Amino acid sequence: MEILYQNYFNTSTQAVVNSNTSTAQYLLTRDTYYQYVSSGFNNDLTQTTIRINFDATTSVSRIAILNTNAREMIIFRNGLTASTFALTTTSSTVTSSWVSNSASSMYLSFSAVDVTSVSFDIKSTIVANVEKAVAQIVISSVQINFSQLPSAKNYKPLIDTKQIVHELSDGGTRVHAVKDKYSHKVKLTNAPLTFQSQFKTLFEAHNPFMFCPFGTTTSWDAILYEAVWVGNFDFYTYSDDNANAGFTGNMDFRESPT
Amino acid sequence: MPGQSIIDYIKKPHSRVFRRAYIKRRNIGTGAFESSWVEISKDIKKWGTISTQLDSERLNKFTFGNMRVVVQNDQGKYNPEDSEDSYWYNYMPQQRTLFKIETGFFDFTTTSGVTQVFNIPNGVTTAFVGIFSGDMPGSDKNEITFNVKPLTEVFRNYAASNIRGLDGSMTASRFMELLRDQTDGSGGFVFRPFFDNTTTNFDISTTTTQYLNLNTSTSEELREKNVWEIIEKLSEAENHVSYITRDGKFRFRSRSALTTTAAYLFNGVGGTDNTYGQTIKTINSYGKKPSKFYSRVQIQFNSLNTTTSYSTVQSAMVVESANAAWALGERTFSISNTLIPNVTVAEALAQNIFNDVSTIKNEIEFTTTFVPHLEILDRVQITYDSSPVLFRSLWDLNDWADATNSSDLYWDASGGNALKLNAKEFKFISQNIDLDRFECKFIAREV
Repeated sequence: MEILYQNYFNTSTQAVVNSNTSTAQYLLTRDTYYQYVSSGFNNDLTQTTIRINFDATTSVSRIAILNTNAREMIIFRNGLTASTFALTTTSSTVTSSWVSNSASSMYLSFSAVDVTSVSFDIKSTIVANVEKAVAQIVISSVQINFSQLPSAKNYKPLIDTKQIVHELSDGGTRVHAVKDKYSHKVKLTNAPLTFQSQFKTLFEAHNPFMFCPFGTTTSWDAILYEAVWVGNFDFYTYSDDNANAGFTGNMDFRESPT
Repeated sequence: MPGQSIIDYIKKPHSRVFRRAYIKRRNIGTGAFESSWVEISKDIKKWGTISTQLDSERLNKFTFGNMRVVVQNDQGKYNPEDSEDSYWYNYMPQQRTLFKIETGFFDFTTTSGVTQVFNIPNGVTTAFVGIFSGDMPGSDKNEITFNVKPLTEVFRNYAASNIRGLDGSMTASRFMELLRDQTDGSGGFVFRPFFDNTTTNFDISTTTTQYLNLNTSTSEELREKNVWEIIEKLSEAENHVSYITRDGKFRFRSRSALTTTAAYLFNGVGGTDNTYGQTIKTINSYGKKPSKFYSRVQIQFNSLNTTTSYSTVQSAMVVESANAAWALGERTFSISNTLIPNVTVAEALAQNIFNDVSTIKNEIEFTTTFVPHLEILDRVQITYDSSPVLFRSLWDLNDWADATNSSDLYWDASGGNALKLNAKEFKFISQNIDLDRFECKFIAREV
């Protein structure tokens, strides 16, 4: 369970693609049905490149790629294909280079490294010879890595849907779905002072952040979103009525507008 | 889904909807609108209601409800142009900024990992184009309410006496074309930039009557009037309507329904049509409108208060059951329009209006689920059969002694008797699209 800084890739002008530039903006959209889709690259012998540039050298340690159909792909930094990322959560590969990927979404963890750009070279697709597609790319670094996880009863994940419910004249019901948003309510007990301090810093910053409950390279549930902390900071309560047992506190994370 | 129409999505029990808002600012150097729309959807807290009315209060009166859009302003993006955080910094002030709303349904399909998103109706989803106009104060809630007015406002904000190019053979349609092509005298179009800088956004029906009083900008008819007031007077004289369409086009045309066949079929309880499905939530009112019945139409076409300045068409009151004036009272619809050039035109106009208002007609006000694609004056059909409220015996008591039918006993009709509409045709004279509740309210008049 991790809290990341806001996506360092936050404007479409950072993205350089080698086709269909108008859809590059979708790489920033959390709604994964909006994808960047290449144009004229529906052949596994052609390569689509997505390059995310940064104005200044930036330290990154997490990359997420969501809803992609990439099979053979390499992710590298600073324009050098040899400069892949050494993954700490490995699967079929220990570096950010895949020959036969089958995961539609991946959350990649690696030690912090300075970059001026991150490139995604997609050479082939899971279903052969179709246009290359990617819904969202997140490039960030870790703000808080949860040293302890909440118990199941203290962890309330939710897809919070905004919908309009109509009752018609014949008694029937029609629903118009406006948007689905993630929200998480997390309660931690026995949090040590250092952990409490991290959350206090997060709260006092009053900034949005990226929340990823369980990021994995394979079989990822693809839950990663920009969140805001709603409500108060109450990590001042001692757990177990014991000043030495750590702190108990509640967090209410809700997804920001997109 | 490919191949599915707006009708399919309106009747779907569960569907995805969207609403998007955009602005277009004016360059501080050239004064011209920027070329692309800037989306501000994610900052909007309250969307308000798009409200358009034509003829609903008075003939030829196009009105637009006061749309108020509330945006969150935590970062000062909606501050006035003198704030460095403002979207308008280094642009012209917020007043008269173009504002557009798109709304509709959306769906997507995924094939081989490639997702394709569809906007319905068919990619043409503009529901409103207008401008920011009026006071727009902020508050300590970190939000700003924008007053939005339709594009008619750009005609209201221009004195009629400033119009260039008037001459002695001015027809109503030529006048509208003159507005379309109106410049500041140095080649800069005055109205066209608000209509996407294209002549195709002016839909003008040709008329032939010449308005000799509109021969010069110093004409008495133009004095102390704005351009929209002249447009309304000309529309009245021609028995036409002038309004702005949902996608921001200026339209000047006859008052007849837009199509001869129904553009949409609304079904409520008792309706069995599967093509359009059920859409009516409630019928708020239905019935004849004596308040819109007139047995006399009197037009004053000359400012002199003499009998020859008036043209009157009326049905004489006769004390008999078939006489409308006797049944409903003698009511006069008065028009004063000195743009009308002569008695012949006045008589023809009076007769046309009389034909329209001398018959009492039904009007219906009803609320539906989200039906975003219809236009004022669209012809529609409505089917509704209210269920009986007070349940009685299933056996129809009135038929026990039926001498006509051979059977004494048969089941009563399953529907109710209070309100029964069977594909009855109306044309829209008012529509409200509530973008916060994705709900529509229509007023329609019997065709």
